[in-house]
Amino acid sequence: MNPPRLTTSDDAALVASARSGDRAALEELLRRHHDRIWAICRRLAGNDADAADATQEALMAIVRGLDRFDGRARFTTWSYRVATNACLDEMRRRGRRPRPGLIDDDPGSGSVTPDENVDVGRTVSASVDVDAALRELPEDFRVAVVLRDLCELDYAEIADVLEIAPGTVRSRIARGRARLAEILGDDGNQDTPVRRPSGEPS
Amino acid sequence: MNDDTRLDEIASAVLDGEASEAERALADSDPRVAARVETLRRVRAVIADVAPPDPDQREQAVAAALAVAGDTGENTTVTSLDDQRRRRHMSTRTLRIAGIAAALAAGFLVVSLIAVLASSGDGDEGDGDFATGEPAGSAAADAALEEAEISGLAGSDTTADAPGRTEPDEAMAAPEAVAGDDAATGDGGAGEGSGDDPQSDATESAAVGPMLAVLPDLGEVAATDLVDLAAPGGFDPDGAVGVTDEALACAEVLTSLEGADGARSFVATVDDRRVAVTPTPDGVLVIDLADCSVTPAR
Repeated sequence: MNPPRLTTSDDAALVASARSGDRAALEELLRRHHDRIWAICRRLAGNDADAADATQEALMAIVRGLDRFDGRARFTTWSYRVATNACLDEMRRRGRRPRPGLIDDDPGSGSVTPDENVDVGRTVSASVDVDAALRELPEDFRVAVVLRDLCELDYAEIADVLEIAPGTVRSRIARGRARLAEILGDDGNQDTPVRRPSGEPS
Repeated sequence: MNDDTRLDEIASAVLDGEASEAERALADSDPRVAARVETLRRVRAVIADVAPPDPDQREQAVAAALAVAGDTGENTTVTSLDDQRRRRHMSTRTLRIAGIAAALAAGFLVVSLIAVLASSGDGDEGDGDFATGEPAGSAAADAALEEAEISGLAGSDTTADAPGRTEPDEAMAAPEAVAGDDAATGDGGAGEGSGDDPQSDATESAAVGPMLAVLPDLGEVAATDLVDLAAPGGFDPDGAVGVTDEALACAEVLTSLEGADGARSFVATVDDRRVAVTPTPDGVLVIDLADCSVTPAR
């Protein structure tokens, strides 16, 4: 899925109208950003159900905080920051009780040593493998990779969202991607089968 | 940084168009970097390939945000489902208190009528009124209470256990005490004899909701920094990482803290614990959002 690119000028006009009480503008703003926010939450949450709840919380957080958006950053950047935090908050809340997640229900998931890796490409869908691979990344790496590869934010924007140095962003993205390539079994050969995730990143 | 890590970082930066000129030159001349760029490009494509959301889910999410915005008529006071549940809980308590007040007022009226009639010297008429007056008064009181309770509200079991239910002054004062600047116009006395007033719910929500619903999240902070962060100017709300309604889980506790300053309250992660922090006249208090326990900040 590739949500349509959004123009800054349209966003600025919609934000201004929404803040002045224009409900239609607010709705348009939410609709045009929904799918991208869904994608962020889907990648951070790892399953559809949690992503749906997190997306709703994120939209509410955006509406709630709209009056504090000062326009210094792009609306997309600001909204991704709010959405990312809302999604992570939702995940932390769910982390305190049993999760019905696909991976957590799989005995042995996350505890398989590299030598025990097996080819599960025929039995596990690629989407599940990506979710599982992302889940193996430390949260800091996962968020940085998602904001870059999904939202196409540049390093400076990601640094602004995460309030870290651009150099840290660069490092986290590189290490995160490298780890994902390793987990997904992509060593440079496109025909390499997808593999089950193993232990924590080194 | 070992060679592989450096190679990955260069390849990743090249892929993102964030590499320096020297790094781009290296990528052009070193086949290992070029190969790694292609590997990371495939990883990027996999990450970016997300199935679209269910259209119904999209409509529901948008509608939920709009609906809550519409409830208040303001864009800034949207609440989550948890918030709505909390609001219902608080409203029930308010209306119960108002209902009790109405019942007491009705009882007082009945007693007054009985006294007047008894002093009139008309035995038959007085007896008649006496015979019917008290039950009528009880019925009126019950009706007032019932009307207050059933004004679209449920959850009386929960309310029965609510702290402060039998302390109207405390119940009314607490939201005002913790309300932030945005809620300064909220009237803590909204429930005074107005249990059937449709405005009372909204007024109370205005006093309670924003402070609880829009606490900025300062992310990970050191326990030793909490006092400084809660001091005036200790943090910039606009510069905070985001906002969260996590504190709603401990709304009862937060609203009971005497003199808590909502404008300087925030949510943070301290030693892997999610906490709400709020300054009070007696010092900065830390509320553990896992169990709502309250401890003074170090």
